[in-house]
Amino acid sequence: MSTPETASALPAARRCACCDAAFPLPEGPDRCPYCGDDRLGEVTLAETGEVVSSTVVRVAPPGADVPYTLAYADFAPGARLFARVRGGAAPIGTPVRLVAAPEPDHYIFEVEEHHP
Amino acid sequence: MTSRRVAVIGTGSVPFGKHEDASLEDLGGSAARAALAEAGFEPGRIEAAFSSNVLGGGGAGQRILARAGVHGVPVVNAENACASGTTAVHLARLAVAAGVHDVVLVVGAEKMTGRFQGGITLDRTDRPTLLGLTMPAIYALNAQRYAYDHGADLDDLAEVSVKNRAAGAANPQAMFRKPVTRAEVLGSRPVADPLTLLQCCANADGAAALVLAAENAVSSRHDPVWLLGSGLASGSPIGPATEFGTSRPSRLAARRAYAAAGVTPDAIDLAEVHDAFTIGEIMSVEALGLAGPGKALHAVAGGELSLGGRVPVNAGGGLLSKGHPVGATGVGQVVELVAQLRGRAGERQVGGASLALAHTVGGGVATLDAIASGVVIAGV
Repeated sequence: MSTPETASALPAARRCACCDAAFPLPEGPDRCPYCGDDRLGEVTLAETGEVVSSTVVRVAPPGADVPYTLAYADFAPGARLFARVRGGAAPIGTPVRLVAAPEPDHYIFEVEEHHP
Repeated sequence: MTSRRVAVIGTGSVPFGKHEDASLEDLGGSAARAALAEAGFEPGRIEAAFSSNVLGGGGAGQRILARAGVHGVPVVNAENACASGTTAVHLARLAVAAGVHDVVLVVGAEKMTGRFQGGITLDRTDRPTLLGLTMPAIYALNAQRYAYDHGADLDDLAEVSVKNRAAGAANPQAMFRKPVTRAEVLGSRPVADPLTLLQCCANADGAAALVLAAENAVSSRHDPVWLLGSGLASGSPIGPATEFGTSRPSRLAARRAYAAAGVTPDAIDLAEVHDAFTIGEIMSVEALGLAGPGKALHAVAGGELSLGGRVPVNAGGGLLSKGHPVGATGVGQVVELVAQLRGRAGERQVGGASLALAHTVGGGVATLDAIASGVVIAGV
């Protein structure tokens, strides 16, 4: 599993002028992955997002260690990101931090230690 | 656009399951010959063919059709993930309805045994797949959100397996013919929370075929079942607007099929829908308008979707009982609709059925909410 110590910096994020979706590189380096527009501006994503859905995977393809948690989480302004979660289960609504990680992760979600 | 009526006049299938000694060509060829025999047509009557297959490599249709004596005619190879079979039926219906051909063959076939350890992976290069987003995990994410949004009990998803395996027990063609209990479903191996093994369909080998004909080529001996409409839709990138727990591609495909057939969901007597995973049936039933948003799980638990209920869903056992040879599944569903609409479904017969629907939806690339969904509406 990735550790922040070995990770590069968080990928820079872009926001589409056409559909307002935001996404970190390398998800769509040249064009918006949602609408295909190339008018992309730089944007800073919120450090903390909220889990939209998550699951703990217990049967995986050969070579993967189980269990692991996967989630989609929303980060302002307008980014929905997919990543592995560090820190166990992360039910819907859980606040997570975006943390840089090596390829192929690029980034992971870390469960906030003190959330309501 | 004027369009001609299109009938199914012949059906054939190789029961889904493990056929270790049969090749893709063997499987598809058998189903195609059976469909021709039922229609009472020589191979030379076929003017074009539409083949659905996902994993068999290039030109699967031509290789299969050589075994059925169909040569030289236009052959279209359709690949749309788990919706491939429905895609082939849709294209074939349009070709006949438009007056391009009078008699065409549809064949869906898949050979999966021995090809995979565990679940299928259609694209190993996209980031979510590299991070371990398996097919069951994609459906699990939808299940979690469905339960959260509707206050549903995730354990109730087991009732979909209980219903469909009970239906499969009455289907001689089903891969699994043993009913299961709620406790057995919930106690089976956890795969991706909340889905357990008995909530996931099985890979299978199999094939199914149809002969379609324009009205002028149909005679009374054919016992025709009419393809009244069909629709196809594709997925969208998963993004800020994605509503997990719903199937937008299925909703779009259904809307197009209902419009083409000129019918509304309340007129449907029975449906074969894509229950690759238990939550898949729930999302699909709602996308098809057979239950309101957030109502499908209650409908299953209340028996509304069982044989004898308001609108039986997967009375043939569904993918959960029949297995899922991906390219054959959608064609096999239409074979099942034809049996029901001809009143020849035996123990699983839905009484008085005159209008029926088949639905598939295919995922596989995790950056999209689906690859494709297809819906076919048939009637007598």
